[in-house]
Order: sequence, then C-alpha cells, then structure tokens
Amino acid sequence: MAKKWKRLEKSRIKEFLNELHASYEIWLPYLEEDKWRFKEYDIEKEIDLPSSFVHDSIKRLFLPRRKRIMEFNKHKKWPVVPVSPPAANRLLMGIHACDGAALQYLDRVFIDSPYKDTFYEAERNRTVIAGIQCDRMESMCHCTDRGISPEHRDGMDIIMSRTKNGYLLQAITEKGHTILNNRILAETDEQPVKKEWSDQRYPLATPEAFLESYSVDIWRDVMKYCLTCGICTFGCPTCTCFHVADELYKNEGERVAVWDSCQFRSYSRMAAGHNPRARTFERIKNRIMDKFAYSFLRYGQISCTGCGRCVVSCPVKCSLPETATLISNTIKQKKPSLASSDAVSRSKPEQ
Amino acid sequence: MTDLQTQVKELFSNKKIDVLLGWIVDNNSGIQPHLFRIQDDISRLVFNDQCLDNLVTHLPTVLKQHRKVGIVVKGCDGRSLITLLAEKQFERERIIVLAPACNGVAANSVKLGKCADCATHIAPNADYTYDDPDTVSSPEFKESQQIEDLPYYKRWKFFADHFDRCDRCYACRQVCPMCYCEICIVDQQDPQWIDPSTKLSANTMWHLIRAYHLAGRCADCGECERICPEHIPLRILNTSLEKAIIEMFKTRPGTIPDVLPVLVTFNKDTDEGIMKGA
Repeated sequence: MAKKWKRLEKSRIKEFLNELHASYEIWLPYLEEDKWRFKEYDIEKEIDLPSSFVHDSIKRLFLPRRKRIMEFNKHKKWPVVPVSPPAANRLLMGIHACDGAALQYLDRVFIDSPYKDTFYEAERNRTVIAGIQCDRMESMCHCTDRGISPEHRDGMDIIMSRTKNGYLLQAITEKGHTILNNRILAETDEQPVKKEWSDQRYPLATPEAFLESYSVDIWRDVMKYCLTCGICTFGCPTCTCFHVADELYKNEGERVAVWDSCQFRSYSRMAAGHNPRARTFERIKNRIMDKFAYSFLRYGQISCTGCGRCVVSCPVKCSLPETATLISNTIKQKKPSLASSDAVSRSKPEQ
Repeated sequence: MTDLQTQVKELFSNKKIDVLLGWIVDNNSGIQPHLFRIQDDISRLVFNDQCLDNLVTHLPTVLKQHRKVGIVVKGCDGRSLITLLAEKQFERERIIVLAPACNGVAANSVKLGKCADCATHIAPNADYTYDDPDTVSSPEFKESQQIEDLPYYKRWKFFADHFDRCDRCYACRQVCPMCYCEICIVDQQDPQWIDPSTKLSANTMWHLIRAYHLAGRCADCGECERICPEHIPLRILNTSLEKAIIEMFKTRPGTIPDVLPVLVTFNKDTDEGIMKGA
C-alpha cells in the first residue's frame, strides 16, 4: 500500500512554520526582483514556493561563497582559533529534484571520500531537506535527460507536492518524521497528480565516449564567444572548487575558503608561470569533461543534474547542455574533425 | 543586398580581409557575433538595433590567427577601438573598420541606457561608413547624475546593496575590451591587493579599482552592465568618471584617433588647477 500523505492548508503554512521556527532555522526561496533566492524565513513576508526553477543553487547553503575556517589575532593568548561549524537545526524548504540529486553528489565529494570536509558534514547533519515536486519544466530544465525527474526524491527528508490550495507532505527519513509529527497536518487519502515529463532534449554520450573525445578537433569550435567568466560554475550546484585565502588586517585576520572556478585563467596557472589551460577552449573542455566523465570515474555519478542554471546565467548565451549534446553526437557519428581551428574565443592575452 | 554586405563581398574578393567579425542572423538563437570567412554566406550578415555585443573584445584573439581582419563596429565600439589603437594594442593596417550608422541598440525592445548618453553614432576613424544617423543626440548622463545628486549615505546604500550581490565571476572584466592586463590586479597574490572573498568591502574595492583603471579610457560601450549576471549598474561608475573627464579635460575618451587617453599622458602645459581640485 502506498504511504499516506499529510495535508497542509495554504492558509496554515505560516502557523506551521512559526511553530517550527522555535527549534529550527528555516530557509526557503523568496522571489526578489524576478529571481528566486534562498532567504531566511521572514514572518512578515508572504510564502509562495516556486513551481520550478530557483536561481540560487542549494550549494550556497552548504558551501557558502565565503566560508570562515579560522581566525587569528597576534595579541591573544591563543593566536589561532578554528571556527567551529554551525550546529543549530535547520530546515530547507522548496528544494527541487535537481538540487536534491546535487546534494547526493556533494556528499560523495565531501563526506564519502578520503578528504572529509567537517564543515560540510556538520551543515549536512543539522539540515532537514523538504523538497517540492516541480509543477512544470522550464525551457532550460533538462533533469529528465540526466536520469532524474521533477518528482525525484533523492537527497530529501520530506517530499512536498502542490495541490489546489495547499501542499501534500510525506516524510522519507526519520528526520522528516520528527517535523511532520504536527497537529496542523492532517492525514489524507489524496494523492499527488502524476505528470508526464518530456525528455531527450539534451541526450549524452557515455563517460567513456567522452574520454575518447579528448583529442577530437571539435573542442576548438564550441562556445566560441565564451568570455570565461566564472558564473556558470558559481551557479552550478555540483561545482565544488574552492581556494583558501588568508585575509589580514594589521594583527588580526581570517582564513577563508572562497569559491574558485576552472574557467578562470588564473585557476590553472602554476607558480613558475606556466599555464596548462591558457586557452579558452581548453578550459571549456575541462569543464565539460569534468561534468560528464571525470566525476563519473571518481565518484560514480556524473556531476550534472540538469538544473539549467548555467544556461540561464550565461552572459553570452552559451549553452553547456547543448554543447555537451553536440559533442556527444559528434562522438557517435565518429567524425573526428568538424571544424577548423580558428575559434573566436575570448581569452585574455595568451602565451 | 545591403551596402554593408556588398562592401564586405568586395573586400573579400579583393583579398583586403581574410575574415570579418560581424553579426549573423540565426533562426534559432537570433542575432549573434560571428567570424565570417570568404566561403560563408554574406547575406546572413546583419546590422540592426539588436547587435548588442562589442566585437572589439574578440579582436585580439582573432588577430592572433588571421592577418587582415574586418570588423563591424557601432559608435561606442569604435571609440573603444580608438583607445586600444592609441595604446598600441594592434596595428591599424591589419584592421578594416566598417561603421554603419547606429541609432541605438535595444535588448528585449528596451533601449539600452548607454544609448541615451551617446553622441557617437558612427565610429570615428572608420574605413567605410554607411548612411547617416537619424538624429545626433548629445549625452545626457541622466542615470549617473541622479545618483550623484543623492546625499552620500543614500549613494553609499545604493552601491552597497548592489555590490553585496556581486559573486566576483569577473564577467565584467572578461567582456571589457579595455581590460587586457596580463595578470589582473585581483589575480595577484603577492601582494594580494584585494581580498579574494565575496564580502562588501572587497567587492567594493574591486569595482572601484576597475572603474579607476578605466577612467579616461572607458568608451561607455556598456557591456559590463549588460552582461552582469547580478545586474549591478556598473555604468554609473564609469559615466560619472567620464563626466569628470569631460569637465576637466574638455575631451571625450576615444573620440580623437591616435591621442592617448588623458590620464595616461603627461603634459607639462597641463593646467595645475585640476590638481588642486579648483
């Protein structure tokens, strides 16, 4: 028998959240100047969970764009003090399938690996994820091509589904049960409406095929007008690169972990000045190969969940999924050379 | 076939250019920048109010691979090209500048803010020009004036709200034709001039330093503002500085060929008054 769903009236959602607010830090997406962004729960504001795309990726809440690791002050008895990870319980609402799947990938990178990130683990342990099923797919959404669907439940503790005037909720994990044990929620026989989702918008070749395409000429001709800014990697929920910097102010300072991007020219510059990825197409190749081949070899999961944020945020309208499909098709046709080498790619002075 | 297309055909057949940087009309993706070669279909070359990009940004890379390059420029793009030529970034002989008259560009049928501050509808120093502009407007600088008129605390709040959103993706630097430093100041690590993390102080520092490095050089092509993923109004900083340059030196950056930007030159006859802030 299918598990029962619980019903939350739209008019009572604030009552429900206010009650939880006593013991949980609550984060959910709010619409701000045409963009859905994760913000801390505000009693004053109206709540309307997004029906599909959220501009901010879930990564921001687990790997903050500026993460303090330690503080130092020369004049104190203990000059170096590590920053302890946050511990307060946290509830995230309105997470879509693409972000849930991305969390699973991040878990593989930062928890199930020899290099465990204690900050990430602490953030993960304190957080309950309440996911919501998408009502529709936007033009850039392509999770169905990446083995996920808008109804996917991976990485979530609670799954929500929108109905006419409220939400249906179901607990998936123990953490979720604790939250749903609430008198405001009533058990119901209602079931969420099943929907058909289109796929095969951006089909992919296998990771092995991608690896074989390494020296194919077509790479020189893709995304010609890419500026190699880093916004696609910052928006991506599965891009994990960061660098560590010391920020000093006279006798005190902080050590911080900051997002970094493989698209930056300075990212791969060696100490002596050599840059193995000095040209734009080499960096684009690295990014696409990492998404669809390297991550699969290292963590057993391709690191693209089809959220489409790279497409939306790109300033010059380059489409990474389209490019990946183009390359996949080229590999399949086994036509190694499609183009000449004069890619008009923007890269700052090349060596 | 438009005059521009005929001209390009002629240039290709006379071997005056090897490639042409222009805009192509594409059924799927609309109007996009494109590198035309002799075998390409020139009838797809367009110039209209949706040609937003500043193609001068791509010129250094193209010049590395081709000897003679034709480029289609709007007025503002032409001005940035003039500054780059004065700074000896390329050889003038290798570039053929085609300058159709520009009556302003529009994204999603909204005219861009830069076009209200524009007085250069045809690129100066062009090899070939076409048509005359509909109207010759004078720069208004309304947007930046509005901000300048605010009291300082409101002005700070305005910029602080915007800079706080900056993710430091450096799209503004990447798209800027004037940003050609071998190693950018934010990428320098010893000394580390600007904190690499995203916080208000460091973000502000980055945007102000970039604005100062562009003072007297920026041609107000507005690309930084147009492509900013967080919609930070970067042009306000640049136009404010441009306004100051016009007031002090009575010249607009990038309008006179072969003259170095005012803050790059030293002239012993310069009126000291400006140094004293008079």
